[in-house]
Amino acid sequence: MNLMSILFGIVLLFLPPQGGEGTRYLENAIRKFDAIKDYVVDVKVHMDIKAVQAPDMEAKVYYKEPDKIKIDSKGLFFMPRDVGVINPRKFDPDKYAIDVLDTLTCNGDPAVRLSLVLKNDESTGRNVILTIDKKDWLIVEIAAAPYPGRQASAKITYGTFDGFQMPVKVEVNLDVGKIDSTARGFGRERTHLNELKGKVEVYYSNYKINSGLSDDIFKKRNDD
Amino acid sequence: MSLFSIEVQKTFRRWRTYIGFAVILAAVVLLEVIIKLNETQMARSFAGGLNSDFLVSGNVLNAWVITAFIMNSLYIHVPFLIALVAGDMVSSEATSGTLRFMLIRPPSRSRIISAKFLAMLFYTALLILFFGVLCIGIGLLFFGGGDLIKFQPGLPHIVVLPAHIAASRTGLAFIAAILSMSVVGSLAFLFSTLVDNSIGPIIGSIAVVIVSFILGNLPFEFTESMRPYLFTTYMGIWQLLLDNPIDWAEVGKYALVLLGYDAAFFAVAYYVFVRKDIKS
Amino acid sequence: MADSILQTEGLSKKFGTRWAVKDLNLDVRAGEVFGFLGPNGAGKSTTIRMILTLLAPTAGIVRIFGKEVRGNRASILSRVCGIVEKPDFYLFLSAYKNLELLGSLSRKITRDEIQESLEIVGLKSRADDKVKTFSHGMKQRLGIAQAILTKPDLVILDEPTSGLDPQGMKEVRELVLKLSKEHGTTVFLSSHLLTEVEAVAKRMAVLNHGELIAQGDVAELLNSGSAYYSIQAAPQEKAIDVLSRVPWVEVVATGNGIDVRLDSGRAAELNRLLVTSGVDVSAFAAKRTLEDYFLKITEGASEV
Repeated sequence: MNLMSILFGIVLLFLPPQGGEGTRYLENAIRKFDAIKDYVVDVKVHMDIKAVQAPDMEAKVYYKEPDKIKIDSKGLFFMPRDVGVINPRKFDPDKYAIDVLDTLTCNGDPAVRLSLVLKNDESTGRNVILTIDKKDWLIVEIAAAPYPGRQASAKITYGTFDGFQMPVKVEVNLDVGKIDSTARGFGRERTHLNELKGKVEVYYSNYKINSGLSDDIFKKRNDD
Repeated sequence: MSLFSIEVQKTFRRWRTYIGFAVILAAVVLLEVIIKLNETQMARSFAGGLNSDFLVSGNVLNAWVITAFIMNSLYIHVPFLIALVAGDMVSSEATSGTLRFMLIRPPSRSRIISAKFLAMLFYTALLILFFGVLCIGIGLLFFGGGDLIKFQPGLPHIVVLPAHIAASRTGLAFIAAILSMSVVGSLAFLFSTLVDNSIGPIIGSIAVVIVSFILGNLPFEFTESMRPYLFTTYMGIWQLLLDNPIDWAEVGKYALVLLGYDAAFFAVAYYVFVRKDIKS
Repeated sequence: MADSILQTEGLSKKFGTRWAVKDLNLDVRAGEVFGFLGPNGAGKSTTIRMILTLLAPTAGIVRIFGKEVRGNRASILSRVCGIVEKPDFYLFLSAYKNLELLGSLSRKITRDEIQESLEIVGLKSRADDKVKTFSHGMKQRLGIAQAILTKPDLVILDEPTSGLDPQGMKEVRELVLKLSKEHGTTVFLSSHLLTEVEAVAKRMAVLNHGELIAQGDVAELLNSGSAYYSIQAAPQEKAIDVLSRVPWVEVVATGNGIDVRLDSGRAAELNRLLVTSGVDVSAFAAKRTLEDYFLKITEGASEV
């Protein structure tokens, strides 16, 4: 190793990482997901929210990169928009100012918490806090505060399917605060709503990954 | 031929009776066609609250949702359509003089007034059931079935009733609506025994319903304190049957109050009619 | 009386401070046509309404078929039919349907019975026409058809010829007589026309200002005491001179003819006297207006 090489190495050592450390972590998580071209999964949603009463809902969810989603359900089906379909690709590093908040241990593995703040208010997306498992480069927690006083966080548990690590359960905790409502029907007693707080559990099973889904599947309009 | 059957025949051989059915037919068809033409916009608007936080799939705007939506018009035009017939049951016969013919026959006045009251209830039930069958039938034709998503006061605020439950609940709701509307009918019927013209009972009963609704919905302490005593407060009984879970105690309370008003209005009508001197 | 069908005892009705009917005692006998005579507003309809339970009497009782109506209403009214004031029907229904519905209020009615009733009143060919297309006379006849539909023992008709043309009046009178003679039905017929009552009734009661002023056999009531006659004679001056000299004749009015009052039963004698006195008599007729009759009976005659 000549001197020039050593000096170059030292300079590189003191230069900040390109795009920031946080960006690199996020890119690692996105890269991990690169292998997923498409998948089909059976999804079951269980809601435990005081303000929303719905039976367990089932659907078949189709995903194709980069962000095509289709949901097929017999009855009415809804699941949390931001975390129902885990897709690291939607956290485009170019759109966010990314900061590392802290490092921590998650299920015995090292993890890092990143703050993602939209650079441009007009961009689609939300400010979020991601926890990324540094061992497997998986997003294991997403927290968002879309509006003041409203909080939502999701913990994601993974399983392995055909060699791919995919979510098997997403547990969403909602605390949307109090909704001051004087809504009532004609002739009905006046009632006030309490806080919109609770839990939504989304279960995933029967993954079929990279089966080569046709774009035609996604052409039909979704009700979302 | 029973007295009831005679009264039903008289009621349903008058063209005025069919105004209610025609209006409901026109209103329901028109509403559902308009909704169908604006289906996408309506669906987005309807699920708008959910769309910001949830990915929504399924037939959101289905027959049960449309029916629950149109049922709200129960408060607007159906009382008038019921009063149109109920307010005419006794008074029209007094005006035309046929009441004299009836009352010099063997059946007692108590039997005659009871038969007329039952015929009025029969008309009310038929009109509401027609309304229901039409809403659901055209709804299924235009929009298909699906789960009923409903926004309601209190908690839970958003209720999703699976399709099969939605169907039975909607049926129950229409039955409750019959009870609800029977009170308007009973009131118009009572007024009908008091005068010898038909306009008075019809306008009078509608005026009472409207004033009662307004009083019951004014956000003042005094009017709030009046709410428990207004029959219109309890006319929303059918909405309770779309809630989940059904608060049966509340449904029972509403039903008892409505039945109480029915009974009270009928009792006064009975008293007036049985003692009435027929001078016309 | 054993064969009394309808009796009222002290029957009275007060509206406010006015007595519409006061202390009325009627006695209608089986099988007869009973005339209930009185000017408009005399209280005839009020009486009929009390008999048929449309009005509650202020005092007194009504007895039909020997039983008090109050307490026996259904059983009594199943044998009674009537028209009160005017025949009103469901205009939106056919004549047939009207009879079917109204008849069914008394008992089960067969198609043949309805057809028979319509035939009696001459409306069979109009059975399926809506009543709103009927003339007043046709409605009156339909009223009689519904009154006889259930073959009642007592028919109460309130001014049945009111508003009818002469032919219609004649037909109704014939119907009333037919009911009485062929079916043995007792007919209680109210009217303000003396000639009508005289034409059909055997007995009658006369009501004025709510009070009974006479009741009895029609012929006896009309012929008792003095009577009014109208005489057409020439020369009239001579006739008046002759009449003024007869002690049992009173000249009431002169004009186109001469109106006189004389003892009933002496009309022929007077006619003879005029002729033998050289007066040409072209007409000598009894006056049968209710007003004349009232004049007569309020001068002395009452219950017979």
